[in-house]
Amino acid sequence: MKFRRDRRILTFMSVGLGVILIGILILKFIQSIAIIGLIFISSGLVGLMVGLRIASKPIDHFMEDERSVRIKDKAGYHAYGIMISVAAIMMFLKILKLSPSLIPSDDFFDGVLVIWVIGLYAFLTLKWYYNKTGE
Amino acid sequence: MKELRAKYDLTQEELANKVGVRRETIVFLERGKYNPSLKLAYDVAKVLESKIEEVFIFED
Repeated sequence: MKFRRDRRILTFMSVGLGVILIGILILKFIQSIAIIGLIFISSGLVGLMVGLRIASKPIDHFMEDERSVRIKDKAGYHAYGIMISVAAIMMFLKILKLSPSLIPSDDFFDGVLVIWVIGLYAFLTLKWYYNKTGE
Repeated sequence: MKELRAKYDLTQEELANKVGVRRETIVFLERGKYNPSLKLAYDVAKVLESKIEEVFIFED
């Protein structure tokens, strides 16, 4: 696998490494905010992985063109439909008092979190699928 | 489209650069798995110095 080594990629990777380093320093020297150190380390690792993925693709791979925009529109439209359906199902389950385990608690934000995660994964999966199948 | 591209000795990458799309889009166009916009069809036909109907086949 070939990796691009242009300035943008190197800057991005350096920032990722820097964030990890800051996280390690926080963990080592400021124990009281160790959780922030862990957040820094995990964010840096995600940044590095994203950087490697971008570096492994040709420069035009992430360019927007009419096909990529059309795929994004289509995936977004269907992900929106899925989110609305999930919200409706959750609401009906709540009203009918069925399967309360599906809804973590009465807290509004728990429900929003479930819908948000489903919407995000639906969008990413559909985008990948439409890109593979040719829209 | 593939034959016309070969006639002008263009790679998919070069054609993509000329019409301002990703190489992937040209791949899907050649496989018949993507319906281009009128603008893209026009741009491709122009680069290949042909008429749109010579490059693309309309299927109902």
